[in-house]
Amino acid sequence: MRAPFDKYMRAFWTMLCGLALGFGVTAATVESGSGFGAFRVGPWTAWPRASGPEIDPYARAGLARRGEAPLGRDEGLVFVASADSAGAPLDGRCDYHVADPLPAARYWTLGLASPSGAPLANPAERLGYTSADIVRRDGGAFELVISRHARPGNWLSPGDANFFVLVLRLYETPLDTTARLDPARFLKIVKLGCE
Amino acid sequence: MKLVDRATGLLPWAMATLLIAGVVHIVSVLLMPLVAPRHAYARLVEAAKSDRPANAETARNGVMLFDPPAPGPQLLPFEDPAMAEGVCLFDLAKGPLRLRVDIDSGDYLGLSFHDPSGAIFHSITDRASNKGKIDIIVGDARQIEEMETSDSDETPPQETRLTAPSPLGFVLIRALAKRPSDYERARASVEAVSCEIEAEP
Repeated sequence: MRAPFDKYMRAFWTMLCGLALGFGVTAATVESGSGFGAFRVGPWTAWPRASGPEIDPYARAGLARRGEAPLGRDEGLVFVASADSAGAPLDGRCDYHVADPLPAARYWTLGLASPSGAPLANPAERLGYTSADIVRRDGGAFELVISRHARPGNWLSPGDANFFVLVLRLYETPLDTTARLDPARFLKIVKLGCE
Repeated sequence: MKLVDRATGLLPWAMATLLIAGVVHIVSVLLMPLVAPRHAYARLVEAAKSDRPANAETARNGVMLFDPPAPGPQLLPFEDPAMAEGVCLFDLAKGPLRLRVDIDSGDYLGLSFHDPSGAIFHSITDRASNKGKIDIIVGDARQIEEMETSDSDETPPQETRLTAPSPLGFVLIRALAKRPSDYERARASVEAVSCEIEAEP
């Protein structure tokens, strides 16, 4: 009499474990990224396939979960960096130096955001720079410092946030996202030191 | 020996667990855009309702302007603080959406067409305007087909026609403020966009 009851219990546990595992994998994949087709240059990541009609189900699920409305591919391309060029996660207690070069684009903007995508309150009272209002050296190159403490020149501050991401938006860029791009030809993020 | 027996006895159950997990995973990923409670469209509808409770109809069919960017969570995450933004929500059950813009400044203006999950089905910038004008009709497959059958041969249609993948959706309008002091001007170019329900032929 015990054997059939035992089998029902096993079937029940099987279903329960299957459900938990399935939802767990969904949660992990949806939270971790925007699907397939990531375009990586050094610490920067863009998701060109999430910005057109050929979006995959994982990217679509991720967008819906985060409530995001991405840029269209014809509008531009968004790169997010959560680590410096050496691979260490960006830390609000550290200072960083960000410098040229950048791929061609009609306009670009560079700003800091929380990992969930909200602009950060900061003493610089500046949420970001655009290609038109950043201060450049002779020849057009620029450099920018990220620090909690006031700096001369182009300065962005993460404020009190310990974790932040750098968001670079290239508007109307002819950048080819099917080819690999040399990180040396993209914005570099170099850690200067920490508190 | 007993251990091997036990393992082979459990193997079918483990396989069944994995199979169920796989099915649950695939189904939940595909359903996520429909059931996610805070997707972009839901956020925008909520904002439109709380913004203009007395006049919800214009908020639904005209352009709803976003608040100026400020520190802290915004209406939509990962939006560019250098952009003045607005949105047209559409419901094609009421008729096709007609969107018109006159491009007068040389600054960036981007339009992206989204389904409720936030996925994009079309995008265009001021660079792609036709003689300084952008004129777009968004309809479902039936509405677009009716327009095409009612077209006369002499006068080709002036507007771009888009077939929306779902009856609900939104058009996000972004105008670049090159400097913080340009924000009001960028906001004015978002306001200059008109979204209205087009009468069906």
